[in-house]
Amino acid sequence: MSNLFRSRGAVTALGGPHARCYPEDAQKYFDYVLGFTNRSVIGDVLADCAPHRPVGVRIAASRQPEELPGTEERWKFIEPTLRKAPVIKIVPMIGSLGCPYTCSFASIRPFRTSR
Amino acid sequence: MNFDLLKRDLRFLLTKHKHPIVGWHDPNFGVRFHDYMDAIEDAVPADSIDFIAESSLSLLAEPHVKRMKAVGFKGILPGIESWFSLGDKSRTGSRQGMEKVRHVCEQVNMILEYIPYIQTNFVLGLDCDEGPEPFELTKRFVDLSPGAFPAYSLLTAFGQAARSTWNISGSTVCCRILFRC
Repeated sequence: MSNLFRSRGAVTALGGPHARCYPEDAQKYFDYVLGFTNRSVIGDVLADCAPHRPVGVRIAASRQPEELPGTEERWKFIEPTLRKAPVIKIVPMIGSLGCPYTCSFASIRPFRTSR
Repeated sequence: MNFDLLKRDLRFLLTKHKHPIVGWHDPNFGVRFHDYMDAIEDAVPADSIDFIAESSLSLLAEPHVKRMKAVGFKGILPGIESWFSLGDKSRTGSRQGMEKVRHVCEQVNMILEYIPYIQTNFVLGLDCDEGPEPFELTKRFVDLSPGAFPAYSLLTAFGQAARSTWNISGSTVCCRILFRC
């Protein structure tokens, strides 16, 4: 997707799990690779908004944002998404962020460590 | 997150849907259990919104579950993860194998008295799970808690997201759940 849009002149950015887990890989395909993202990070990207190739730029806040836009503020996005749901319409909400990755299956020591 | 915002959002939802369904996307709903319940109870009438959340069995003691039923919880997705490990998450301590199955079944059946849908999550492929026994124990679990829906999660790599927990340099084999099957 990024290649397609970049070939048409767009500047692309990736956030989310893949950008956080494998930023080096994401940098090959996106101009910006975002870790923890807050208003300041978005502001920096929009202020620069330039192609970064062949290796994209990594930008991240030092921690998760303490607040996110609420449901009412996001309703213009939530409502059309719910309209597409055929039967069960579930409104997504979140009360806390930041899984600490301390379960043994998420930390390296108890898992397969030999390489 | 801001509890005032949360309350405003719940009230807002009732202006948009007669009886909305809210799915909480918290990694583990209820870590600040009473704060959340106070906020929900303060914001909207009891049972006016159906709630679904992923939460740990360690947080789902009977008094908590009763309160969740009262506010409108209809679905809960706790992680059991394995019959041989991660006892802290399922409030089973050092219990393993069939002993853990019985203990979890008791709690799951208790939860089903209050909340109609429970999906119990397991992780497929942990080092502690070998041979057919984990699956045989899950069959026993289904026999003893037929109202529960077991879900197995496959593993994928966490990569750098779990870097703070890394203890071995140079390794890239951190894993987490990607799919529910």
